[in-house]
Amino acid sequence: MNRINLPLLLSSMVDGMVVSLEIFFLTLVISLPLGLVLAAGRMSKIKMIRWPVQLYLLIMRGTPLMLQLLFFFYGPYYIFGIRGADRFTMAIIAFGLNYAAYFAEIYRGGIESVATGQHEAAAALGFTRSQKFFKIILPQVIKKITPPMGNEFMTLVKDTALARIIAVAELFHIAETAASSAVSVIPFVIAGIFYLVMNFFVGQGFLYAERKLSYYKIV
Amino acid sequence: MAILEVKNILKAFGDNNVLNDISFSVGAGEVVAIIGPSGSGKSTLLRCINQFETIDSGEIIIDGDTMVHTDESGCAVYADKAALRRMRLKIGLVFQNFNLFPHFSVLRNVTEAPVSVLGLSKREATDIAMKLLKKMGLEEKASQYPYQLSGGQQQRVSIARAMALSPKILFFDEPTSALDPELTGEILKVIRALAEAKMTMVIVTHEMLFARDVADKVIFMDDGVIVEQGLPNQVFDNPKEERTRQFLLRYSQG
Repeated sequence: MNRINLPLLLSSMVDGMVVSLEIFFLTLVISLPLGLVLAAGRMSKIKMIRWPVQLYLLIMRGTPLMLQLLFFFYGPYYIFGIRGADRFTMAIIAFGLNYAAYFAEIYRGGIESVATGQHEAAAALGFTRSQKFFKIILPQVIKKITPPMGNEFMTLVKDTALARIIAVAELFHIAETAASSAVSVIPFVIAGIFYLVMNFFVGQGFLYAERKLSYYKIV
Repeated sequence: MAILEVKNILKAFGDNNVLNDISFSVGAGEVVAIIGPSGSGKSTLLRCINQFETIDSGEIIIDGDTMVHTDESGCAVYADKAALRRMRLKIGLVFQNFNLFPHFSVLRNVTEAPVSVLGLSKREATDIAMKLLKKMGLEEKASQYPYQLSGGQQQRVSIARAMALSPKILFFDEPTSALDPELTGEILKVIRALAEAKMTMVIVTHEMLFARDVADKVIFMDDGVIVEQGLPNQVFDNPKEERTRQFLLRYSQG
């Protein structure tokens, strides 16, 4: 068993964590707005819009994210013989498209759970459609979806580990490499602690958000 | 001059004629009560006038503007979007379930539409809102949220919210049906005060005594048709139609 150089290990694992956090945040930047667009498509009255979106949601939620990562990374070359973007970019695209599907369904659940009376009251008062959505509906949706969003965010923190399948040097990838070269589980334990710490902050963030939104109740 | 004119409205859901040749008018300052059993089409009628449902044929005129008329081929033709919106602002609507915005304070519930829709300044809107809330006896509740209020208080806020746009006519869709009996009185008192201030109102209600007392005209609907309309004492004391008599009898027996 090789001796572990702890300072060196820690510093490379911090580097890995930074990459994991980059995946986390960039995925959110893509998937949070894209999810809203998909939710709108999923709720569209027009079949030609709704059906393709439903198919998209089925594929994205029905197949392993790991498979999607491999597909996005190798697909362009294997199918078209062209080089795709670098592995990090492809990972972000795959994560973004995948998480957008989950967020879309959470948004939809939230939007559909707002009482019809809210739409009618807003319409009766003369609000335009966009005023109605942004001033009346969306704030209530945000309150309703905060708990399930917290779940998804935590899952995403852990899912960033899947990017190692296309050799993105994120936290888990570095832990795995260090563990096998040192024949030690210590890197795994450290990685576990790092994920735990990240999710601790995610959890605290959502707790704070829920408290912030608790000034009213939906009657 | 009539604020609202409804002529020969037809409305069907599939084979079911929910509104059949409905005609009536509401003059300025008049209070009209619409009574009738559940499923008689009262609420659908209100929803058609408030643009939540479309009619199949007939004519609706609000404050001289034609919202919808029927062309030679018998199809209902609606005014353009901008006109419909303008007409909507002349109408206030109070819902059975209040439908206050839960994320806004009482004050903001009343000011939001005047600010966002009419373009009033926050200050003007707040002045108007506070005056209305005072009339409703709710000025101390201005900074509270709907969930902190009783049903009766919520309904009074919703009346203030509708009044804040200075509508020409105010519709009430069973305003006391979701309230405990002891809270009904406070809403009826508010409506009575509005009637005394010559507010034009159409009230769909199951409160017969109140309808008789406050209304200038009573419309009895059953099965999608207006069976009878007239002065309250005429409809309640000397109904011409057997159906009206039956309905009132059932009601007086409780």
